[in-house]
Amino acid sequence: MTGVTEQRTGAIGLAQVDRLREAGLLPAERYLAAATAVRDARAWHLWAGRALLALGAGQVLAGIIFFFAWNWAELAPFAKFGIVEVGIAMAAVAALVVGIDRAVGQALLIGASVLIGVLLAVIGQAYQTGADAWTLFAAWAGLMLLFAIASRAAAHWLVWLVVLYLALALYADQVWGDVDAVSEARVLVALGLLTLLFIGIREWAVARGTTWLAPHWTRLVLVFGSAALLFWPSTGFLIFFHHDATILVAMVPAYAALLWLYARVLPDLAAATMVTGFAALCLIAAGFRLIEDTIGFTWSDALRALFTLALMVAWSVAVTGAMAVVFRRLQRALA
Amino acid sequence: MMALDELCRAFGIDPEAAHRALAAKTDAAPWYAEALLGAGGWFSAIAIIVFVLAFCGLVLGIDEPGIGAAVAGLALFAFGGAWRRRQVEGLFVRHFAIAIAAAGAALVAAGIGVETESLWAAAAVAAAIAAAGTVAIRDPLLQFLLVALALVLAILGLELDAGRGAIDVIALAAPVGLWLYLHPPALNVRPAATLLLLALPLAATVLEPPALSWTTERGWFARAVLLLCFAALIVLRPRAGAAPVSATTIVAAVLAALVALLLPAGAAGALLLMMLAYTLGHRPFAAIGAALAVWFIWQFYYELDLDLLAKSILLAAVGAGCLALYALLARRGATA
Repeated sequence: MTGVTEQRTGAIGLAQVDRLREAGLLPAERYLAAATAVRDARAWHLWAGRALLALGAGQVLAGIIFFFAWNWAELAPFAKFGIVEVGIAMAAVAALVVGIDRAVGQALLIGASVLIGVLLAVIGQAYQTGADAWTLFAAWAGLMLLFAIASRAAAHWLVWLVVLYLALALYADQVWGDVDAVSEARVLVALGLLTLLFIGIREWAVARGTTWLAPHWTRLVLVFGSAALLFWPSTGFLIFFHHDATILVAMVPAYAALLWLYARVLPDLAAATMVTGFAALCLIAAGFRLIEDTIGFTWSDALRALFTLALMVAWSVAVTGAMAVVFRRLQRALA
Repeated sequence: MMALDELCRAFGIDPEAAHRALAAKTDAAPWYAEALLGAGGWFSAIAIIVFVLAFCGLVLGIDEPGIGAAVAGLALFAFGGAWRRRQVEGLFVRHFAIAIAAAGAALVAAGIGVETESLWAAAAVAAAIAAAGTVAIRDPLLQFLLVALALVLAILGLELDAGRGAIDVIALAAPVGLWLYLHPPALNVRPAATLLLLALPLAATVLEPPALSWTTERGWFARAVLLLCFAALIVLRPRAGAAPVSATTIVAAVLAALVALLLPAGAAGALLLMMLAYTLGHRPFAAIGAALAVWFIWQFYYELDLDLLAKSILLAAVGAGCLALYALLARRGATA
């Protein structure tokens, strides 16, 4: 009944209008008017503006990147450096003038950060030293950190994280590539565990009142990133792409920690559902591996093939069923 | 934004009936959970199809699905549909019943398609099952899966018969989907409407070459259809009580024309989703439309047969145009 009380006093949305239409209480010709009436016009104006800003800024920056990738031979290296450096300075100054707490100011600072990467790439073009690519990304991540700190914008930190992860992945490949203990799967797991650390930092900062990190999407992006980075190598082991079982030692407690965090400590149905989904997929793959290891599968033995397939069907049905039960419990516990 | 009682007063709805209608589904799962469980159900359906096909091949000696598979599929569809119609409460049981019905529909379509050696026959049967399932079983997720099956088969048939020109025919799905969203019938057909709106941008990722619009002959009819859809949205909004002609409306019109005239038709289809999201306040369409727009722009510039300098000039010019439109919005105070 709580829901009904809330509906009497609180604002309703499109989903409620849809239900009124389904119940035959709202005529079809008045549906659009009702949807318009319950819509949060200000929020949607803001969304449209931000989408346009992101689209415009993204394309202008891509245009600049393409221009320097074209590598105009008649333009002297120092002229190239100068153009990009002036661009960085102008973007940073313009951000200060506009105000770094506004969307335009934050977009300008992100632009300055991207131009730092362009400058480093242009330096690499001019002085072909043969240095590994990870040095470029590491320097980029280091130099743009100041702008990221100054901007106090979650989108800027996301760009920084992507550059940092590229630097780390390239470092592992180019510097530790010959070390036996370092494999592609282990690097992904390490990045997934590192993302857990960033999740912890995010939650700690939000708890201490850092409002610019508070939007829900920041949590969901990090949880998805961590769960996905741990998922691929774990599933790779379970479906015989590699034989490194130690990866499961990292994946299982990491998923358990995320589920505990978002089911018990900081209740969040969306984040908990995401982790449950990844865990269910891993569980299905684990069951398939167990069936394959113990019974085996071959088309030449009809009875065994059918028995194995039937077991796999039953297992996938059981796991998706268990996932539904877990979800319903989470929903009721977090309601 | 308004409260329920306020909406009831404004639209002449009986408040008690409205409260009853909304209270009936307070325990419903959110869309992302439905999507996850739906994926689980579909995964189970695929496993069931593999098992049935293996059984036919290994035990009955039938290598290709034919009439036998169609009959078995019909039985599965009827069983799954009847189970679902019993208004089962459990989330998983509901999804498993849907998975069985969907697997049955796929087997019927495959059986008829192989037997007649015609994708169109398979698509027609899938469409008939989708219509029957929508009316008789009344489950949004099952409707989504059945309509998706019929649409995929029809698009494959079009691609085989019309090649790249298929995109112009597929575009006709967009106004139908748009109409069903803006003027929904009492029977819930939103899943079908969603798929009709998604058909063009998703099919375009496969069927439409990423080229500058003026270098291609195909897709102009599709662009014209989408421009009419944009115009319809712009005209209908003020009638529904929105501001008459705002800065946002002008920006939307200019952007829609630019995208339709410059980029592949699929990108215009993505923009239509974003405009519909803006009009209705529909968050999933906003997310899907934005993701598709990024994908189309990325693919367009990556595949475009121009040198890097020409690409950079084009990118910077279009980006500057978007920023100018943003400035126009900001000047009118529509952004923060």
